[in-house]
Amino acid sequence: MWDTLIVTPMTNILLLIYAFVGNFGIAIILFTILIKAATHPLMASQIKSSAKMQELMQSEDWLKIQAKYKDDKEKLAQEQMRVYKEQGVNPLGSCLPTMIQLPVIFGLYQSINRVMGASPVQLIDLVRSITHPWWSWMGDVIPAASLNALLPINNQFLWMNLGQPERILADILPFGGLPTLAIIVGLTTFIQTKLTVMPSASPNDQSAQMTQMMGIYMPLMLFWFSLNFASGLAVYFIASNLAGIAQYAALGKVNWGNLFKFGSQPATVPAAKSKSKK
Amino acid sequence: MKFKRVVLPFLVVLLAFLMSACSGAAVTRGFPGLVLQDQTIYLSENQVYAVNITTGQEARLGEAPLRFPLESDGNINLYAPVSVTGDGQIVLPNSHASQHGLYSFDPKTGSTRWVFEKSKGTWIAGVLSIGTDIYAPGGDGILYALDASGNVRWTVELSKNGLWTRPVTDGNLIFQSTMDGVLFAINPTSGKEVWQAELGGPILGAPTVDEDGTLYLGTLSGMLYAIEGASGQISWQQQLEGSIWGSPALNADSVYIGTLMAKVGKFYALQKSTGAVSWQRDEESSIIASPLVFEDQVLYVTETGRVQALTSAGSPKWQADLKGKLLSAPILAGELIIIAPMQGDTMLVAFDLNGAQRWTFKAE
Repeated sequence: MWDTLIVTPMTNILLLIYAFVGNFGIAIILFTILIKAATHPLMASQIKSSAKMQELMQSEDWLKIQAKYKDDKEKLAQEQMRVYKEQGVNPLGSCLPTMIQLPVIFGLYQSINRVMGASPVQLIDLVRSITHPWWSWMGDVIPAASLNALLPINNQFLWMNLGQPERILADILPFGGLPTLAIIVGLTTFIQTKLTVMPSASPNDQSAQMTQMMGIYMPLMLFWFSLNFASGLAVYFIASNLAGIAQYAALGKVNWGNLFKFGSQPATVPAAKSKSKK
Repeated sequence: MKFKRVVLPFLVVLLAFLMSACSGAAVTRGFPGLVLQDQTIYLSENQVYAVNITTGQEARLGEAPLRFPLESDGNINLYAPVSVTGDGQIVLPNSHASQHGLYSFDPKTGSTRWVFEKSKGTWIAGVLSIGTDIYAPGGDGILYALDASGNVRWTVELSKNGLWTRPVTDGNLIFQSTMDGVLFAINPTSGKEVWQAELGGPILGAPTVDEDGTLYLGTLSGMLYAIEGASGQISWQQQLEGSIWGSPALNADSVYIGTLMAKVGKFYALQKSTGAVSWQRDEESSIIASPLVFEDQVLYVTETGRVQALTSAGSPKWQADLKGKLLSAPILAGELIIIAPMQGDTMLVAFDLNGAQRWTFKAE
């Protein structure tokens, strides 16, 4: 079911892009941008809901009820619901779009892996996609999309073999070379997190602390991924990070002041700017 | 706060684990490799297991099982079939995505004799050994000829892509197919190319060499070829339905091969002399592994676990259904047929020639 509804259609789109551009690195970048564009309305809705929620949490009314009912959880919940209703804020408004995007992100990741066909087991899935009657028909119509034209997938992009972890090799470098792409992945993930984190009403609240910690762990985790996995995935991570920053920038929500701020809460997004978007 | 400091890294590690499982990219996963040498079956499935064909038990070194290497770690990913050299070394490549070593093991102690680490790509295919000479198809598209100590005798670059098929020999030349759809004939002494044949579609199965020197091989685009080994001339070609992954099996008159088409498959018998299809059989699952010919039977396995034995004329003889994926070619070990299911509840299953199950093996 997952494969039929998500991974196979995505794999087919990625293959089609590859058939036209003939370069797998460029195909990954274009595909990532395409998926980001298709899910942009969801993303925009999530960003707007988050901003609205942040504004509400900084409001006098909200802070007042937090203080007043701090010992009565049930009453506090009722009052919070009342404020949500009055202000027209959906408390799940920022979660739902994220939940909907998650399968897309995982599907994107899996389809890139499949098309790379870096191992026999992965290549079977790719061949299965290409030998599907629907794709065979496509290959008849578009010669560049035929099995013979597509395989083997050209994994060379710039200096990289996209099916292998990337290293710049030189005799003077230790540990099997310099993992340039992994470093760029770590940096762009860090920058994206810094630029797109929403300010919190209270620096001590749980979500703010979690956000701060994710800002440290995510770049490290993706750096580790890129260090060990096929570099095609690293290209996807970088394209995805940059496209993510562009999405926030298009909505005027990039928090530039945060970029060189370390160890404290994120700076507030300019109020006038966020209000003008309302 | 302390709680979150513990939980968050845990969640991140869990996510990393899930993504690794989804991608399979941390290690390169191949099909289990199977080779029979004397009374021992060597099964490559992450480590190499040495299993006695009569008992189905692992060979032992003192109390512990004898495996290659003796201890596995995250940097070892052995899946290619082993090759036993003339002087008794067990040679096979590590198919790990970032550790590119070709290993030689001592068959008696399991210790590593040498490691060849010059290749820059992921090794997939097994090696060919002729006497003590080793011919290793690299993941960087280079065919490496090594001596018994792992020193390079010569190299020849055959492709920009990795070489995924094992070279074969007719006793005179060695033949290496590539994913670019080219079959090369190479002089084993000098490494010089003798001829090449462009076959137009990616090749993932090694050629099968007949007694008269004819090579039979297929492409992913479904074309099956008979080629003269000495000259590279195509004797005949036949378009089949689906992609050909494995190597054909031969008997006196026929060529047998299976195909995969999306999720289904077909099994074909063709006349060896002309390539005309004698009969064909539909399967509900893909056929990826090479078939096996023995006595008057032909046997193939399907991806979803069916073992199907037919008479050489195509009538069903016996069948069995196993748990797991069957992607590796079955082998004949005396009076037994050995099958290596992947992700099943056993690692090896032995049938007699009439389909009765004799033993199973699963590592402790």
